[in-house]
Amino acid sequence: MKLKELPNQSGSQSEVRYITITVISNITLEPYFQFLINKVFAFSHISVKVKLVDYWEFISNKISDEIEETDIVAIIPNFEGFYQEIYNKNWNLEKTQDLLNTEISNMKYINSMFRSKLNSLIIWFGYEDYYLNDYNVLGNIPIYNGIVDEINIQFVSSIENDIVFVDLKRLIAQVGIAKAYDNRNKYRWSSPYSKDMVEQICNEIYKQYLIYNGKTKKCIVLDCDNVLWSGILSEDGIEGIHLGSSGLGREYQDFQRFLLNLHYHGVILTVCSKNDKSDVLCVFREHSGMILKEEHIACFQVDWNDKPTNIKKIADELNIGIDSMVFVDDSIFEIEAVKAVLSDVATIQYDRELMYNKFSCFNLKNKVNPLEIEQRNETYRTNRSRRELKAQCDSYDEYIDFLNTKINIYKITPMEYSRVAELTQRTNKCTNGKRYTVSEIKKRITIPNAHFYSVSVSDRFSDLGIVGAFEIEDETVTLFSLSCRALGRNIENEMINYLLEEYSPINIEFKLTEKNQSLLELLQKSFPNVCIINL
Amino acid sequence: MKDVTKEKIFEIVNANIENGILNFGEYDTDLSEIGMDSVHFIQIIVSLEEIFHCEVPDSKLLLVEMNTINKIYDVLTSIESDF
Repeated sequence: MKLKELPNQSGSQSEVRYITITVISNITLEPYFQFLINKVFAFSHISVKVKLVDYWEFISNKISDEIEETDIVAIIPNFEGFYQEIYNKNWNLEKTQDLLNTEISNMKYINSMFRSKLNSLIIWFGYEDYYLNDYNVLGNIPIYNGIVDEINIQFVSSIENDIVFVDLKRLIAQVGIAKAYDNRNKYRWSSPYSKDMVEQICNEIYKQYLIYNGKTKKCIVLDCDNVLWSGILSEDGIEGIHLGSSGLGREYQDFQRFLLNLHYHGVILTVCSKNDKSDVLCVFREHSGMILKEEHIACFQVDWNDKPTNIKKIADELNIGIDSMVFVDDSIFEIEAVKAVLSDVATIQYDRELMYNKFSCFNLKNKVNPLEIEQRNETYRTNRSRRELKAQCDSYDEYIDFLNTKINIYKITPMEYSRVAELTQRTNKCTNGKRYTVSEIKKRITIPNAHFYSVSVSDRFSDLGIVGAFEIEDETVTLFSLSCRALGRNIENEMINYLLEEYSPINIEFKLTEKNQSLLELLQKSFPNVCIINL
Repeated sequence: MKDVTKEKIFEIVNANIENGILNFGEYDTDLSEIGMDSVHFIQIIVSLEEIFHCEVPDSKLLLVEMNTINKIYDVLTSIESDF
């Protein structure tokens, strides 16, 4: 493929979005970068305008207005480009410490400069020293006292939470050291990385963009036999299945550890298995090898019905779209059945060699707030009790009263920007379609006449935390977003009443999708005279 | 190495310089005057090498050596004659 022949996966021209990426580096990333970054972003129908800025020019001119307007800033500093003299001098520990201090101080300076000026996604690629040919001669001894690693470690601990630090050494490892460099272009125009390596960097920028914008799956649907343990529970019994830290069961325990980590990063775990439910629960409660416990599972759909039907039931119960679900099963029959009936569900066939790469469809944040995650998981768990209560009540109003729901609507606080941004990104059903990043919320709250609210909820079963947000600017509702886990409890009506009483809006911005039609109808009914403005 | 023609070089140059439209036959126009910068220069060299299956000598990798279609043609054909 020639440099200008970009893949056309974007459908009609009108669907293409445009973003700007500024790359600050002391090396040349051309000729490949512009071509490859556009190739990667074309998967999301995004066309990228690239601005390449020389590192030293950037340092001396501070940040220009043009950089301030950029969507993504990628900083790719090259250690060799800065410290060539290290090869030729008698290096010692004292000099290492001096260099370290200088580096950390420079990074902190740049860091603070970014924070005060930029609202974009900032990705900082760490230093790497795999370019050193000395390793071929000396063996793999850390010849410079591991200075590159030391700088990276200290930098990670000193940067702000909202700057993303990427381990470039790991990216090189993924490509392979032998394939990551291009000496011809290095000595021609300071472009040390091969096309494969530049593509890896582009892939990482794209991944971080997806994470930043909340483009992720929400839920895993797990089969049990030969997925969570080795063996067939209904035939082998709880004593006959293999699960433990050694032998046949070890790979399954490791997979459970992997799943538990996803759970702690906010992924909803559910079980869909053809078994007797009491047997499966018995394993979760009593098998000593189980890493996953009953409390980690938001929904058990365990019976002898077909899996597509049960996956649909899980989606209904959790109030999530099936396109946010990933189904894991060892049986190709079950995988194909789900693909055929529910084509929007992503499927992964259990395979200890290949399946972990496929989980890259989850674009999860590295740093999460454990309290928020726990609140979300707790809501899904306690929803079961709410459903049982609802079944016992004679009327819906009686159920709502009995839940003793407390709804708190208040102006958003800085601590909540991250949670509210995540909420707007994840919500698909009860949303006007507006999605915000943290940076955008920071911008929005500075606008005069714009009022941004958080909505938190608690009831007799749990504290759900922040489940909703809305925003009104002048007389236009610009954001209306309520989590699916809080639907059906009159919270949306409380939010509407608040807007009516406090602001009497005359416009509502709305982007209609396949999933938010019912909210549009509710808003039109509640605000009969408002004008709906297409987003 | 594939056959080098000025028409093909013209096509490659125009494809790699955004907004820079070189008119057909302008083989002595200084490319920097129609917007070629160092990034475009790198992209043009790599495209030429890919398409003509050759390697431009490092000594010729200067804007002043390859800033017109005719100069590029001369450099590429001199590589050909070296083989």
